[in-house]
Amino acid sequence: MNNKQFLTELSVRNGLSLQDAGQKADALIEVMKGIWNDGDSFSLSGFGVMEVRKKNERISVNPNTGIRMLIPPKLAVSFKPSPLLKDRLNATDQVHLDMADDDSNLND
Amino acid sequence: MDKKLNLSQIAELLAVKSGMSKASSEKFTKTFFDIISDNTVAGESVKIKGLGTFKTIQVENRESVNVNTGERFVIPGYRKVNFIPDITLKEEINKPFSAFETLILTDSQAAVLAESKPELPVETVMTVESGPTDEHEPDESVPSVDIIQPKPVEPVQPVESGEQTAHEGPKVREITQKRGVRFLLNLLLWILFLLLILMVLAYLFWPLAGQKLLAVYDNKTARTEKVEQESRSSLTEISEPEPEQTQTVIQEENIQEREKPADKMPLSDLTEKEDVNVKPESPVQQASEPPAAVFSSNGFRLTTADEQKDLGLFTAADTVNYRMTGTLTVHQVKKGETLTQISLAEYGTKKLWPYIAAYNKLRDSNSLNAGSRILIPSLETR
Repeated sequence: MNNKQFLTELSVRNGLSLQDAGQKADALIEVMKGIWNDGDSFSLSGFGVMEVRKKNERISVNPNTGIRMLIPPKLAVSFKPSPLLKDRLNATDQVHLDMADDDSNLND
Repeated sequence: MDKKLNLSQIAELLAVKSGMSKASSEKFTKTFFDIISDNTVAGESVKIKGLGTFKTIQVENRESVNVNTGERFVIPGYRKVNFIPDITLKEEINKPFSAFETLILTDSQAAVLAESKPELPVETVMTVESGPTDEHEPDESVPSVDIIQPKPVEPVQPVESGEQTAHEGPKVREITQKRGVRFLLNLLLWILFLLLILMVLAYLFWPLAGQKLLAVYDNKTARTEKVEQESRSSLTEISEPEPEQTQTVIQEENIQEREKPADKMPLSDLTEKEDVNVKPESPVQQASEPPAAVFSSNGFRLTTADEQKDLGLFTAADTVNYRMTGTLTVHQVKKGETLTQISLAEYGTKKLWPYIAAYNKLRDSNSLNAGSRILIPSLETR
């Protein structure tokens, strides 16, 4: 599902025009960024937690050249699915396995 | 900071930002995330511009082993959702840390970084190791120097060094047990090593010093006995210095007695030995001789054999000893053949290959080509 498909579905479900839905979606993303920039996180039941985590600096070695590099610390958004979402993902295994296969075929 | 917002709080913020009513913004937010979760559950990835991609990933079954029981069991596969943030989002979130860049480290820098972490087993090990070896060096030099220039005092001095080392052992053991054990092991090794050196040296220098020593020995026996008694009484650990003492006696005796068949009389009690020592020499020799004779003669045989071999071949290959007088034959190089192999084939020794190389003006001994012909010089001794 790409951005356009996503926005059309959003517009259909909310009874909005596509353009409107796009604007509102952008506004929501801005809100989310604002939350993260304040160092906060948000959680939604049935979805999960999205928060900013600090990844520590580390030394990494290029296995081909043996060159050592110091990777600096960084902040990254991480998504942790809620137990509810996990259950839904694994509830009907057989069906979803097929669909996952389809998906991987598409990617190929 | 570190607040966890819920749906209604987000909806409130969105209402302020977009001018929607609170109810509709809440509905909008809810559908926004519902669509994501619905589609991921359906196995589809959802890509949202400005945010990122939510993707379902199938984790396959895998086998694992129970650490406690060693049993194998299968961890069943499952599906999970991954979120990969958009590049624009990534950069925006990472703004506070954007000044950092990936550094390429030199080895020394990496070492410093590794050391700054709180694991320093390497250092502690090193200090433990350096201690004993330092203390041992003087021990080694004392007896070996004495043996090289044999004096009448010789029998006395190794006994002293033995005493020293024996006393050092317990001292260190008091400090830490571990260190003590390691130290003792080191000590034992060193003593064995010293014994070997002493024996070899004694054997090598026998023809020079032996006569002198023999002459002196009769006068000295009385004195060495005293020293032996003293050291025995002062030592708590007799086992270590004892071999050194007997060995010094042996050095003087074993060659004399070497040709005789060795008696298998064991080195039994000290008391017995003391008695024996007071009497004229012969019983002592018999008692203490067998191990020493085997030991030293072994060492001697080895070294001489090595020396002879080395010397013989070395002088043969010495450029001073031979002159190239002309071409003897032409040799065709076979595949995989080396100069040493050619030398072995033509001269019967590997060591003459430098002549072949020099005669053919080969810069690099590896540059032989299979099938090429090289000239074998005829050699003449000077």
